[in-house]
Amino acid sequence: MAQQEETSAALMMRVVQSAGTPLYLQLYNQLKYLMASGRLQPGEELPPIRVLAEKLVLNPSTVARAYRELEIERLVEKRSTNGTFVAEAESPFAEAEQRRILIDRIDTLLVEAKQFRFTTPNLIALLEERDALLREGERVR
Amino acid sequence: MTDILRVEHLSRKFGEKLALNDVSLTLKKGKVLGLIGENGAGKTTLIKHILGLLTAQEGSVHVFGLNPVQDPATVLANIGYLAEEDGLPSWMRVHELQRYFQGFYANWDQAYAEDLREKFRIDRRARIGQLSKGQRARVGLMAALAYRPELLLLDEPSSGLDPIVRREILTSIVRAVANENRTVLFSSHLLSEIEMVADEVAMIRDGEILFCDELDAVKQSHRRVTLSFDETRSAPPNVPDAFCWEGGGREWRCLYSGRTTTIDAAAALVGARIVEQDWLTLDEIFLARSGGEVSHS
Amino acid sequence: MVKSWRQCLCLIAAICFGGVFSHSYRQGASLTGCLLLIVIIALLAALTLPESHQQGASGFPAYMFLLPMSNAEMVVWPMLLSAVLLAAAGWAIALAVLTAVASFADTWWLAPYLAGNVALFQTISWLPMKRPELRALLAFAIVASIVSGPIAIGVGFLTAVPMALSYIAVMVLSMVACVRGVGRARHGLAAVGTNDDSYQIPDLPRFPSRVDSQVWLEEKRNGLVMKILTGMLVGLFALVATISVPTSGSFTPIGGVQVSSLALVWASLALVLPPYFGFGGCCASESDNVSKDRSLLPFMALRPLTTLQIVEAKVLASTRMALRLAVASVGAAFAILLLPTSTHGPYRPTIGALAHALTLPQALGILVAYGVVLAGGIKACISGIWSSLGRLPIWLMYIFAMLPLTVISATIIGLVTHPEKLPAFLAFLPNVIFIYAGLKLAALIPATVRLKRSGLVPESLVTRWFAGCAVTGVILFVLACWGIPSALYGRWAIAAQVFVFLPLLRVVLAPLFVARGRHG
Repeated sequence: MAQQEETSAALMMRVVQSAGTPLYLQLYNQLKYLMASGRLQPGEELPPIRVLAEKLVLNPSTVARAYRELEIERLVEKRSTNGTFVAEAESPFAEAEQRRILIDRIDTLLVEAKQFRFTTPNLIALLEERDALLREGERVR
Repeated sequence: MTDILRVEHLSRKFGEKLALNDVSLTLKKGKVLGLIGENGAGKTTLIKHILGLLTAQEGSVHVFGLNPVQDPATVLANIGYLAEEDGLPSWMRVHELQRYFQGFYANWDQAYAEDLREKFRIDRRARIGQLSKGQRARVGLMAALAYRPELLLLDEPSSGLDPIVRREILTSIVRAVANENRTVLFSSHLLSEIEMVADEVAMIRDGEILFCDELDAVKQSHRRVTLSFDETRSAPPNVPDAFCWEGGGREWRCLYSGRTTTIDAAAALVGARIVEQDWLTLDEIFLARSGGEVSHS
Repeated sequence: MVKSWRQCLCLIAAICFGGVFSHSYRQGASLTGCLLLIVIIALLAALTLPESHQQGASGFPAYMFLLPMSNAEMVVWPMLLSAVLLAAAGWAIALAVLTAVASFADTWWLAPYLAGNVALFQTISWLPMKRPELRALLAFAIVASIVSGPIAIGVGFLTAVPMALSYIAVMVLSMVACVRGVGRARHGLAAVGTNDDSYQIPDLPRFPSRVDSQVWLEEKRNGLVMKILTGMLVGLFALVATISVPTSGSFTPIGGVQVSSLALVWASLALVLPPYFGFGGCCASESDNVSKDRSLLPFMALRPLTTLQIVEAKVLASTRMALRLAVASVGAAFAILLLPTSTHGPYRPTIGALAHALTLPQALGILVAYGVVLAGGIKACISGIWSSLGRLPIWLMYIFAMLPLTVISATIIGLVTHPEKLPAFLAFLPNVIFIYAGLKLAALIPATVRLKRSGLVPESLVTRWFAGCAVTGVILFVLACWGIPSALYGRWAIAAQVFVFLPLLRVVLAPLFVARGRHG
């Protein structure tokens, strides 16, 4: 039960059938996203295949395949026990993924800023201002 | 891994009508096989053969290595069966059903049965005939699971049921496979369900197995491909294994079943390039395969 | 349930004995007493009606509710059609059977009689009942009407014209009731549904074996209905016999002694019930029984039992049921034979006369023959009524229930009105049985051939069953020849062989038929 609480982020995943994308690929992509965004921390245990399969009502082998693909890319590692853990080492793949996600967001941000007639230096100033505020908030909390 | 189920060259005629034609199928322990096909394609006939409710006219059926007609007592003791038409006697009460089933199955787990019953919120005293369709399906599910059968056979189990009951049925399948390494064969017309829980998919049409493969392989080998041509054309190009053409002018879209490399080569051959490739859902594959030839001609 | 059924039977027996020793029969039939007894028996039967048949909903085919018709059109036309067609058919058949003993003029009242009874059948299955027990009461009234109609004519209580008029009135009333009742059911006005809150789950042990589980199902399905129906009929026969035997003047010479033929007829009817209901109700050995099972066949076929185990469960349940019924029937038959008749001197019981006529081996022979019939069983032709009340199409209900009753009633009336033809009838009856047996056997041949070809049951098993059957037949033949040597029974002995032999054949073939039904 404790495991489930630790890896609640993985249990929040959703799959859709209408997309046509194979379900294991959907899981794989979402897990990768969760790791890159930090919602799954390095060293954190992924939910056991059976638990995740039951939660998502998926065939266990689908979940197993998603884990296997991640394992091949060394984003997760199997330990002596049955557990699967998010890889400790910053893998180059993870970093690339993180960059990709950030670039996506930044692109969107830039397009919107352009529409609102914000110049890029203005935008950078705004970014720094928000960052400072967020830090403040964190300290207060 | 042993074969839980082995069907070899099974054929069956009802009068003049050929209901099953040279059907072969194997199912290994711990696997979930989804059986898809239109109504009247022969799914139920196949399942009845597995249960021994029909005798093979040609070919053979072996369940746990036994002939279900010759040895019904052993075979049926290890099969849990849930059908669209529940077929439970309406006069029986739920507790009577439990007791009746308990007499047959040595591993009937009354605690588990009660657990399921409570989870499904069914009154033990209730008469089966007075329950709603969804509740009856739950009772059937309880009866099929409580002795932890080796093989679960589900014939259109979710037909006409609400999403909650459907999900309960699917969850039971996943649990049986994941926790107890049971084997499952189920037919459904809700292909999204099959896509979620099946390892393997068999598609049956007019009594014949069109394909029977791992779900991943089926998904891999079916794609929607958009081809772009340099000049406009009035008819789709002739590409092997491509069907359901649509479009016009310079862009044509087709469904394709085959390897990626082959379509690349084929596209090059007709002077087109592939501008888009999409996965197909099982629904689309099913539609394509069951109507493909018709629209192609 | 079983307990209350026994209590009911005990009460019926007590009432019968009370009737025997009361004074009423000496003054002729007392209609009031008769009605009172009918009501008491019906109440007892209703109290013990099995739960599963306490359904209050209308049995009228629901799809017809959607037809663009008024309630009256929807109900009256089917009723009229079935009344006219079935009455005509039944009458024609009765005439054909009875040409030896009766004439057109004797039987014309059968037409309205049948039409009225068909209408009554429809009424009880179509009317929604707030208290489902009412259906049992009405069913009993119909059985009483079917049996007592011909008797009333026979003993001269009624003449044909008022009888016909009363049945036509019954038909009209039934139609009015049906139009109203079915109309209420059509528009959801009829209160249906039983209150289940008071039900307590009994604490029952686990079944020791698979077969025990299956026997439970068989008994639950068929047992109680059969028992109650038999209980009702045994009670009814005892009742009618109590009224009619002492006052009847018809006698049969047996071994130089005059024996009341009515007492013999009623006693045999009571004795015939257990094998009919007890055994035939359960043992699905023929294709029609399998088709009766069809609704449940997938369910039963899916249980992990060998086909022989399914049959074993059926036979076990049937035997238990038949034996339980036999206790009541033998009691009732004994009571009927105890009824005094006015042969020599004022009143003497039939059993006393029989004691003069039968030697010990003869009595033993009859006893053994009955035991065998009981164990072997004969198909329950009436089982269809109850097990499918309200669900069966009316023409099937008719074939299962009305036709045999018609023939029996017509035969009784023919014999009662023309007692001088009784010996001729008795001499003729073995031929009927021979023809019946021959037809049955002929029908079994193609089925057996088909089953053998399908290879569902090992051939050695078939051979063994047939051999066992043949040996049983021979033993029975020897027993009957030793037990029933008298001239009167001479021709009967062989016919009885066939009759007893036939149900055994059914049991022999049961695995084959169950296998066919099960494995397609």
